[in-house]
Amino acid sequence: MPQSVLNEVIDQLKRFSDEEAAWQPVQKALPALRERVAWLEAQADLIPAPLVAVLFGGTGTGKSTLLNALAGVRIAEVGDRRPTTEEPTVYHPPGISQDLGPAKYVQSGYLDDLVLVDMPDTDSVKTEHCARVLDLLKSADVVLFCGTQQKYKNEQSIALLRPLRNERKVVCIQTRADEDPDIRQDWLAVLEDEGIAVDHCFRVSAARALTHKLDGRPGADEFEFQALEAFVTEKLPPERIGIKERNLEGALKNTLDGLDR
Amino acid sequence: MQHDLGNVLTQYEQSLGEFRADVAHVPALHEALFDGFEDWVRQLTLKLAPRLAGEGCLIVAFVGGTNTGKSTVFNCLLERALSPVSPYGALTKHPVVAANALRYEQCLEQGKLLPDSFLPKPLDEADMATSDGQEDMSVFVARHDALPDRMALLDTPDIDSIAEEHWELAKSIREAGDVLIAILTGQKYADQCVVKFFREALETGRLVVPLMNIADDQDAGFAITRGQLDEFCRYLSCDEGRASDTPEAPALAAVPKFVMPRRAGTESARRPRPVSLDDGSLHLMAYLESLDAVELKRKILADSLSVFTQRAQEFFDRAGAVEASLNDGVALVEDMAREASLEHRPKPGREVVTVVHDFIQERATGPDRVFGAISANMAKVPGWLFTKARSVFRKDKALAVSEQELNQQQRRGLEAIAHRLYGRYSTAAVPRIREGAPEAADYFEAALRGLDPGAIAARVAGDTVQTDSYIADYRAYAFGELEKKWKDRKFRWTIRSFYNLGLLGSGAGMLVLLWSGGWMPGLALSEVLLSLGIPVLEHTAARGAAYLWGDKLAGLIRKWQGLQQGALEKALLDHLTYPALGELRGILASLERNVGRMKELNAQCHKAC
Repeated sequence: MPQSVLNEVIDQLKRFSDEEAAWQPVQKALPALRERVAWLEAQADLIPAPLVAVLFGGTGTGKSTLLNALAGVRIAEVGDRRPTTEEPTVYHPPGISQDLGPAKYVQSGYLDDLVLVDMPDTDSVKTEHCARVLDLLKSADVVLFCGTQQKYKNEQSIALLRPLRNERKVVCIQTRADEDPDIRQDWLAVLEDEGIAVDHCFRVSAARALTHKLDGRPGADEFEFQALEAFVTEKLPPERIGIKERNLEGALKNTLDGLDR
Repeated sequence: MQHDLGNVLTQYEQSLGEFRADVAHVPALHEALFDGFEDWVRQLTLKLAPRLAGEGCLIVAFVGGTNTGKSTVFNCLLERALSPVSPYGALTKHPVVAANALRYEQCLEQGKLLPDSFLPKPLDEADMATSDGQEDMSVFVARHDALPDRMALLDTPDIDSIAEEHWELAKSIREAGDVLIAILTGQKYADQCVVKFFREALETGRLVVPLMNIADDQDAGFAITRGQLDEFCRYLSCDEGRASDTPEAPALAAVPKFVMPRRAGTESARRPRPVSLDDGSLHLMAYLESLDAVELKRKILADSLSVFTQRAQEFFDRAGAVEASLNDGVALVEDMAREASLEHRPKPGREVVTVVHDFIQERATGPDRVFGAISANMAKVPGWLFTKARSVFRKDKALAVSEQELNQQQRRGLEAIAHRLYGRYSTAAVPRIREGAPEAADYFEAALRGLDPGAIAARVAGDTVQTDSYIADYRAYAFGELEKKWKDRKFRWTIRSFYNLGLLGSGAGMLVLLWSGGWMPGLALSEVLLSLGIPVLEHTAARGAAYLWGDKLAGLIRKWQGLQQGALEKALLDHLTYPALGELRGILASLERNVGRMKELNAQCHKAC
């Protein structure tokens, strides 16, 4: 769908939501719809802006470790105590316009048109983490879904993605490849059952990748970290317009489907 | 103690079951009553009532998140690959119980060792527990003779997977287990649903034994694992996992924590064993065998009972509030029906006069009787004049209407009352019931809407108006009253004087006519006179009676009206109020009966623990 058509549909939705409806069910749905339309408008304006990719997953799935590995520097705190990440880390190229709320902002010299966000967990005892994740997901374009053998089938993570079907590009990353066997096949089947489309899935050991990077031997492990890194930092940013448009299209479709119901 | 308590709990369960079945007729009310109390009901039906027959056999359940290695630890304790393991999560779809020969038989008997909500089946093939085609509450029982009598091991599906049917099962397993081995990992000890699950288990007196699986033994003495286990225990001890400086709950502090080391990279290394974190020589199995099953069961029972009776008190408070508001609602609509019935003021019509006439005629002697007979016979003489005269003289319109008209009038009046009551129920009763019991109000409103006011009004009128019988009734009452009066000489004389005076007057008038005008015109005139005279006569007698004992007569009507109103009230209740209340009355009765009983039983339980 070309951008002009997208904008027109959003405009029509806006006009519809601004009218006072007499029918009660519509009246009740209006505040939510207005919020949604405002979000759609903001997203449409952000199409040329850098792509926001968020690291998403349960506690202990190695989101922070993966960010560190991608950055090649220890910028996010990692640890054995769960939950570790209290405050999101935003790793961004110089001069970004998106406001992602209270977070630790780290400027990157090597990212181009891509903002990486290390989010808190979706499932720990600290329920406020999950709320923060919900908030950050609103600004996300790409969800880098981190999972491990123990944490790829958890209701709490998948429940957050369900309402965003087709509205976000989802990339699955099995972390801790050095510890767990390959679960990607089962994982993708689960997500497919849930109606969450995933077209890329990587299996990496972030901890090892970081060690190798720090040792000056990038690509020394047998897993797919290098492919992931190339995909995230080189392949995704140039495609950002297309990704965002498809997300927006999905969001519009979901909104219109919601209206039908 | 256990035996008595068993009886008490069985009765408790019966009362609760009966009550729930009754309330289930109004689902909204059921929800209002039981919302938030499912765990309490579950505790009674799954844990307390059936499990007292446990005879000191501990059910040790291996519980944890998906892919944390529950089956691995389970198999490790049995030293046998009984429960299948897989790298993919959520493999175990049904619980697997391992027990020795004695307990094996008991486990297979539904409701004997395991709660009767489970369907025990023998485990013939290892992959049965992972197949989809089984009933939801299937439990597979495997015989493992190396186990002691005192315990049965239970491997379970995960508590945090996306498969919703596992969640329900997990709750039942929490109730079934006496000892819950919390299978944790470095990734899964701070998960909200995991912590919540074990926190609730702890609250109901289960022994929770934390076991860190795949523990990293790279550092000496499992320093990281130790920290993680401590944190897990603190999460269990505080309310919402916020303050991690909460001290450990005493129930948890006394329990040794276990670790199952990661299978080291060197394949030749010995198989990992679940051992105590503080005492590497204490094997989990040895610890489980050392537990005093009877004491533990007693403690669980006491803890569960005290939690249970406390929750019961809260439930009774809620049920009491519902009872009060239901009571108010039912009383309100019944009162409204009663008030409506008072609007009915039936009148006996011309009967008041005729009855007096008939009575006097019956008691009359000699000339009175002759005059009376003439009067009665003449009264039967047809003719428009006769009718005309009656209508002229009878000023009292109520007394003038015919029975048929009266019947119609009454019927219309009664139908209007039924319609008005129906309207008042919708406009006044529903909002007032809603103040106290919104669910009951919704039910009542819906039931009202389902009723046909026209048909109800017709049935109410049909039941109430029975002209034949009410005239007979009225006559019987009047005769009875008059009879009492008649025994009074003075009254008798007075009433006869009135009556005879009238008769004599018209008789004299007739004679004068005959004498002065000859036979033919005389007869014609006498007919006119009689047709005028008889009504005058009757009226005079009736007036006389009214004058003499008007109060009494009015009282008679009032009494008779009361009876008629009573009949109307019954008809209104039967045809309108009770159908609209529907199941609510039954529920109220059931509530009074069963909750009252449960309160008594609760007091006994409380005393027992």
